[in-house]
Amino acid sequence: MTTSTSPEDLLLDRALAGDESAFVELVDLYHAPLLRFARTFVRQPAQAEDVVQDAWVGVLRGLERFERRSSFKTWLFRIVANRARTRAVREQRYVQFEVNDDGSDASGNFTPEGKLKAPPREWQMTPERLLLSVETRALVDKALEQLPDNQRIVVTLRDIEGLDAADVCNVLGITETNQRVLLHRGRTRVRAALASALE
Amino acid sequence: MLSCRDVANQCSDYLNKDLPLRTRLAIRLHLWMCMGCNRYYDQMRSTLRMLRKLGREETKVSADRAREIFRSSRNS
Ligand SMILES: [Zn+2]
Repeated sequence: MTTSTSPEDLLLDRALAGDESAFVELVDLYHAPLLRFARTFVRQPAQAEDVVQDAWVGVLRGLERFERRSSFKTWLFRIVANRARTRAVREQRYVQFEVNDDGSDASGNFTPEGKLKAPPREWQMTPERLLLSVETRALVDKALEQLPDNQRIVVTLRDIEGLDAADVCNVLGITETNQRVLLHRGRTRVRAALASALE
Repeated sequence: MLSCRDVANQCSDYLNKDLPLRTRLAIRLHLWMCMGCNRYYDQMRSTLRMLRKLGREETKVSADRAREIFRSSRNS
């Protein structure tokens, strides 16, 4: 798949030719998302910062080439994913993305026939206030923090950074099925965490 | 007829608009008739909105930090 030239492509070309201001623009666009993503692999903020800096330096030195087989954003995320994974392995942390999808449900919310035993309780906040409230923002952060690594990584890429399913598979080198199952489980857990605070 | 469990299992795909039309319609019908699933779906949708909002609120890094990285790539 080839993608047409994007504004980021041009910024990259200029940065590679030594234009510092073009690089500043790229960093402005992507550094914060990449940092958030790196933190899903390596927990220490300083190490995550290292990983992202390393990725940028690799890009600037031409160690990483943008072949335009994916979007620019996907390419950058993949570089960070690979470096963050290497780092995590060094810390003897290994993220497993293979999951079994047996379709079972351990929530205990359903009867054997699959009917909801009871409706979920109402949340004590309107959808509008949920979006604006500082407290719920903190709740979402905490819920994410408590997800298993594999679920947090997929939810971060899909829902927070807005990559599509194919991009996430590409960035992490995982199958479509694993991507879907992890996303589903992660979102389900985040909802449950919010529910226990908002009911 | 879909069960509540089927609806919960496909809720994430439904939110992604990733399902064939026939399944989407079956889910919509169930949500229309089942108060519990309807509320669950609304809460999942709110959850998703809150997650998406986190991504739009990233704090920017300073240009100084960017210049520092740029210069470090040219050393050594
Ligand atoms: Zn139902």
